[in-house]
Amino acid sequence: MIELAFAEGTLEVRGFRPDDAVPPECRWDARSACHRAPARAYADVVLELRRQKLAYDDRARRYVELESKLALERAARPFQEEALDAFRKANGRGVVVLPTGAGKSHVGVLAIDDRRRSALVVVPTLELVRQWYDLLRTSFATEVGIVGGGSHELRALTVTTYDSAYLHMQHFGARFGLVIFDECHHLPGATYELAAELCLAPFRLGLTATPERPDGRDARLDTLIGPVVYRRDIIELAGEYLSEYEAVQVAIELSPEERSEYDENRKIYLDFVRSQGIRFSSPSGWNDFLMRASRTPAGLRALAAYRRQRELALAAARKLEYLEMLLERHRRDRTLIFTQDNATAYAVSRRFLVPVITHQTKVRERSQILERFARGDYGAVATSKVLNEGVDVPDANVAVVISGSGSVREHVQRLGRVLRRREGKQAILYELVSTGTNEAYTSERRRAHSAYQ
Amino acid sequence: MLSPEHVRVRRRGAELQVLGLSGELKARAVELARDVRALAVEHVGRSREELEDAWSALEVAPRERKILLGLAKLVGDDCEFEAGDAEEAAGLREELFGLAATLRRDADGSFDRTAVMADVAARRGVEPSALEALLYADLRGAQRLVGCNAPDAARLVERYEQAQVQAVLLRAVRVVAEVRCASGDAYRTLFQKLKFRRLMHRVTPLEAGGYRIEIDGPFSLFQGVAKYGLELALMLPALEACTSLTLLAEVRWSNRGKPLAFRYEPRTRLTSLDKPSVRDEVQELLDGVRGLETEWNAKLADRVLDLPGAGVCAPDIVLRRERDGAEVLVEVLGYWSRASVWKRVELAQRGLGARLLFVVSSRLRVSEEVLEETEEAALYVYKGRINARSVVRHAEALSARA
Repeated sequence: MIELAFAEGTLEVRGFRPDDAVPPECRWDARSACHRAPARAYADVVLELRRQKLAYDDRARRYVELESKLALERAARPFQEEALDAFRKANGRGVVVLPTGAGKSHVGVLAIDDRRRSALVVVPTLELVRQWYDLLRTSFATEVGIVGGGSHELRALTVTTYDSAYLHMQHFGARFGLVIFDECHHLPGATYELAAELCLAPFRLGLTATPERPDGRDARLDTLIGPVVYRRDIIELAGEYLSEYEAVQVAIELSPEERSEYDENRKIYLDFVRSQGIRFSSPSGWNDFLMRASRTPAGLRALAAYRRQRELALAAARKLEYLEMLLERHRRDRTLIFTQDNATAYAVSRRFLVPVITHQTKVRERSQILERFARGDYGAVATSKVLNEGVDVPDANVAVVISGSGSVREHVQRLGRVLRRREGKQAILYELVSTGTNEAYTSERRRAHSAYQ
Repeated sequence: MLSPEHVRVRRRGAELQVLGLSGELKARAVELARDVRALAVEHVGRSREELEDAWSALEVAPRERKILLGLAKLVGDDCEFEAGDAEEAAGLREELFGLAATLRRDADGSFDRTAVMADVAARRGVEPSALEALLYADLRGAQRLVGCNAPDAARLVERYEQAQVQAVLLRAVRVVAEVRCASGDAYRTLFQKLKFRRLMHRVTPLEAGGYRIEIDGPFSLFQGVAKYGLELALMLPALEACTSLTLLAEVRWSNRGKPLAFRYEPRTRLTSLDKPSVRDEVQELLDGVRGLETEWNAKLADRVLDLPGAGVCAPDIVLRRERDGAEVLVEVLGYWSRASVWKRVELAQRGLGARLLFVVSSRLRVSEEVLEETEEAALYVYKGRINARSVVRHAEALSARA
């Protein structure tokens, strides 16, 4: 009889006879004198054994049928039902692409109820852990486990972060029949993808608004989760399922002092780049610059100059003056203020006396800030990157991007924070860009999405 | 532990080399270590941010930059910081931001920050400047340094050099170690650590003595991953404890590039003249057999018997009969654990390819009959002390089996 066992995120298969056809993903492992496959291949291995009518003893699978049923029935929107249907037709393996605010999490809840297996939800941030924890507890009226942020409690329904999943999947990867990767564009990184490889779950759902990655590794989602089975874009749902919105780009002039300092530093930086023949059009251009800059005093000066000119463009004094005007204009709205770095987020908080959420904010204070924001006790919240993704702040209707990266995904996600539909809501996103600086080019790159056309 | 950004390395083709410290640069590193440590001592009572700023302000040449960062990391790890009162700071923020939000919403004119600060300061009976200091007193940068336990400068530099190797291994995909240990105990410790770290290995004997051990993790069969890097780095002290070590690692130094080869041989190593560490009961047995009038010679064993999928056995003593060269390996299990005896029984029953005598205390309640039917292994169960004569008698009987 063939024996299957889960071992540290892999599947150990013992007992093949010489004339048995070994399933394609299984390899002979001389270290342990057995066949071995990635845990991800569990479903394929079992199906192959069944196809060959080979008897097997499955000691690998440790997941259970879910006892709790959906306790809170919420009517699904037509596109959510279509998404679930597409997931079913793909044998419970696939990626659903829906814009932020369209209710991706509800598709996840429907999938758990549909598959009825113990399920693990993997998310990028602790804030999303908290949100999914609340959602699952309310939806299934059962206790929910958390792994991450100091907790390590496994239950039939458990929420964890990508970081914790990468670290611990080898231990608990056999305990779930369904795994949901929320914001699954994070998954195909060199490290995080092991969270999918070391997990045995035969059913896999990916949720994202922006599956594409600049490094092209989104192609790996096919293997790690399954193909894209359903997709809707912002422009298809705006108005009916998402709020109407307006995206305004505001050109900010540097002050004369800032301009002079900016030009001076940019010249030092560019002179060095030219003198070294560094080409930023090459994929290794940036690394090349960093390497050469660290070797000589002139290089170190160029690196410091690069940082200073960037800092001047991202946190120009007039941006904060403009923000003051926007806070005044939207004083009865709910405003989210996004920055590229923590220092600017804290500077905004101190200057305008608005709460700030960064990776340093403790979970309890985060929850309290978001609750007070939802109630309207706070009219504005500043943040660097931690509220970029997935966080549910339905009442937010104004987003101010003081600074950001050139990432299209980040910019679309930030817009998504204010798109959750409310009756009569008109969302607005302001993007403050320092004119005549490199930030204008960064802004151009991040706006390369249909949502901004 | 240091991170890769603290490490001085250079690439030579497909090889990664850690740059050692010597001559002037070593002297400069000691000087820097002294400065970094002194700044930490001077900053006791001040914030982490101030200390880090002071370290950053130290003037260094480009080639000294990573040394400074690494030394600062090591000294920082040896410092004790006290966090500000998080509850008090969070309470102040709630009060301040709540009032500010109400005033901003209801204000007809522009929002007056100074008035909000003055209002809350008055309610708390403090100056507004005190509020500014308390507002984010719970952030990492605001933590107060209360003490520095870093060792002296020379020791810090020594630690920096060791930590560089571990930092490289953090990115290792696979390690091949050629080791030689002088005793079964040393081999056993090494393999126990591999097992504890949940690493996998392949053992091959080397012609010149010692073993080549390929170390990686279960998933490494499919893809070279740096997931086991931390475990591989933590194995370094155990590998360095071997009498001799040559380590070759496959390192994923950057996300894009191909894996690089990294070779390491500790500069200071034990020589064959160093006395291996041997447990008292093993030494007593060795002396006991040597004191008998018998044709069996006894010496410390330095071999490993590996049975893939089952485990590793590292005997303590080799008994060799002069007359015909017959060999019996002896492992002294004493009164460690019943489970370890059963593990050896299982190994013996699967065939280790050598004659093995396991010496076990009667306190473990195991009978010699368990291995009576086994051709290659036997148990000697002793009461009180191990009797050398009985060991030889058991060896004689075992060598006579089939």
